[in-house]
Amino acid sequence: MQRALAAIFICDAGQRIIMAEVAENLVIATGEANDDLTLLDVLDHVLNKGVVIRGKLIISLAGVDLVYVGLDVLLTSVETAMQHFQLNPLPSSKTVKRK
Amino acid sequence: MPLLAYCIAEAASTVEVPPRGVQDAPLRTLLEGGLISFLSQYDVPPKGSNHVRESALAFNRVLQDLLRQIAIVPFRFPTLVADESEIRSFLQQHATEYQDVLVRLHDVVQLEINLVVKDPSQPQGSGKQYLLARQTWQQNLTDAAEQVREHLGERIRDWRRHQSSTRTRCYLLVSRHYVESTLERLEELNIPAELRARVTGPWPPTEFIALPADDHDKRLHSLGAPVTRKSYD
Repeated sequence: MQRALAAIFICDAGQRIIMAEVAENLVIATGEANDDLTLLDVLDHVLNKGVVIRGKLIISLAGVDLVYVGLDVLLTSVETAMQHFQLNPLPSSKTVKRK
Repeated sequence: MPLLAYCIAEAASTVEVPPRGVQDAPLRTLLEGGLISFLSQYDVPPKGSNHVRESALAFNRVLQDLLRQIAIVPFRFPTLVADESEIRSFLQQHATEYQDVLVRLHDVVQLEINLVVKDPSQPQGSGKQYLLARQTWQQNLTDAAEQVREHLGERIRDWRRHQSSTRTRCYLLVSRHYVESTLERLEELNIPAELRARVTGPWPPTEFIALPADDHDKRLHSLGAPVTRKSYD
């Protein structure tokens, strides 16, 4: 069995262990993420996983489109949307229906 | 002001609602069709402000707080709705599907193991050498993932795996009562020297939910559906 080479314990206010490096090539990061090491995990989940209510929504606030206003928030979601487009390309206007 | 939607849960759940969410806004709940949804007001930040990290972490804190207590189906961040009626009509439309999902997954959570090739640099030499190296990476990842699965045995209720050329993501559906013991068992894993493993969770079991709105979303994209516009002028 591989023994722990090093251990890093980071605790939140509730004294819950949130990350432990249990071996040189194994990291267990659990619980509430509040540091840069787990920020990517959090972003990956909150931006890419979950229910989407509609295909696309642009909310206009005081005449400014929210998608534009919140562009930096939506960057990863746009990337995900692009993946959707790659999987399900939009119908091309040049498509000719052959008889 | 638009509302930010966090997640859906069974209305019958007994839950201590976190007092504050993103932007320190008070959390409110909405009951509809046997489901409860968690929302807060969202003040659209000025363009270019550095709010992504704080907002995403605050959003995740709410989800984690609720997930510790009950089963949830999260909304993707940032899901903004014009008002409560939008969420209400969405819940009415999908009440049965989400109730089924929440009953099926009420006592489970998702753990993830991300296995990556430590040194994915391309070997110098012929194309054949490169292809052989890729084949070795793939085999190592597959073997390591299978080793994880065997190591955990019946602790896993269900299992999904997505593999690319240099990484494999394993999604484990685990009873919430066995999270700690599963993590302890994972500590005993002997990961091959050429790979690195990162275990995260517990997360809501999104990989094991066929979300009806996701299919709807893909259909809309594939059909090139027009965007919806709402105005708050």
